[in-house]
Amino acid sequence: MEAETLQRFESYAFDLMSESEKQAFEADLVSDPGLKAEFEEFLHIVNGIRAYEREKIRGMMRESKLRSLQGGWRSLRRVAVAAAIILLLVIPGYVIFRMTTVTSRLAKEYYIEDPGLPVKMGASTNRLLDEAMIEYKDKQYRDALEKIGILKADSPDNDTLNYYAGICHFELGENEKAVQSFSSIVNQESNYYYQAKYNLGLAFIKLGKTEDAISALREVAEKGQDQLRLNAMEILEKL
Amino acid sequence: MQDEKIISDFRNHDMNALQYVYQTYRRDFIKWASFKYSVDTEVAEDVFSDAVIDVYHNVLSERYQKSDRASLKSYLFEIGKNKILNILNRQKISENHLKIIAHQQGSVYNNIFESSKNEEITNKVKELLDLIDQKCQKVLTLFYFHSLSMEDIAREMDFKNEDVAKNKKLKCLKRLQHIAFGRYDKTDFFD
Repeated sequence: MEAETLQRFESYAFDLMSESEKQAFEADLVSDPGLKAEFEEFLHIVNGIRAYEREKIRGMMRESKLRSLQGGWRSLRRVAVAAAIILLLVIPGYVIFRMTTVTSRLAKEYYIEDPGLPVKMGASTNRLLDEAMIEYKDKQYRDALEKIGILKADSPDNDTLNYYAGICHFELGENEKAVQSFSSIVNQESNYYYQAKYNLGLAFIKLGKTEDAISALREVAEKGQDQLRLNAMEILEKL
Repeated sequence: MQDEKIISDFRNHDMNALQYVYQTYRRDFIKWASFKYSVDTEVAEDVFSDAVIDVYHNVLSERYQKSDRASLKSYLFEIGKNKILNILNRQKISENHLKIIAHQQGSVYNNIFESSKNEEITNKVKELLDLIDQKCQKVLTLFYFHSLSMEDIAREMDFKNEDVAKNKKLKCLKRLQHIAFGRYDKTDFFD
């Protein structure tokens, strides 16, 4: 391809030609199959270049999303540093506080993130629950809780609602409320029963209520399934 | 940030503006797309990032005119909507959706590049771009994606003048074309 040909291709493709130039170029494309083939190759190459850069930018945008999450983590770390300083200053409470921190770490280590319920709007019968799930998946736990709360007004004993309310509270660090939600799932036939018991144990650990945590986790270790059971056994060994 | 500011930042190739648009409208779009078109959130997320890049690209290529549009957000959502409708078309979800697509097509995808798309060659070119030298990558993407003038490219890449930048672009394009279409010789690999 020569420089003049390329300039003609670009002028046509980027709509920079006058009407008469355009007509002349189109006539050449018809009469010269070689030119037409070369022009098509040019279009393919430009498409490839654009797709390449598009992917790079897309990656960049998503990376930045990750960076903001890391930013959140860094601010948590700053809080932890401040807490450590307070610990050193407030000697009498130090031992108890330290134990709580260690056990909280345990709760964090064994926490299994729940991906949430699948959201298929078209087929859904419960739009508000779908909305809550979208918020939940987007980690907007406060908004998710608001919607779950509306649904719970009609079905206060619904296992699904109580379970996800518990998870949202847990994620928000509202451990007392998480305990309330998880504790309300009492039906052993419920699909959420052992998951709720497991998370209940973790919430109790975060609250420093080790005996209650042991009681909840023991049930999971004895009757739960697969990973939950193994995790519960490991935690019990460490408590 | 005002639309005018975003558009002006796009024209200055400021990637922070792209990031700003992405973060500002992402959540709204995913919610809206999931409900209105019954697509999974993952699909909506992919569509959204593509739509943001389209807006950026359309601003640079003068296909977006602020005066014609209610807001940048509406324009972004319109592009996203068309992308979703195209996906639904490909999946042939329903007759009803197809009718909507027939009505919609032509509004955003009416340019010559879209009509010549060939996924196999596009992927091949993408892979080749990773193999060629970085200066080539840069000159080609600055011109064909970011729509920089040759004068600006010369300045950006420290070329002596516009003509040097033009020659470099031609050489890189030819190299890519030869390798992609199997007509290469050693000059395509060594300067």
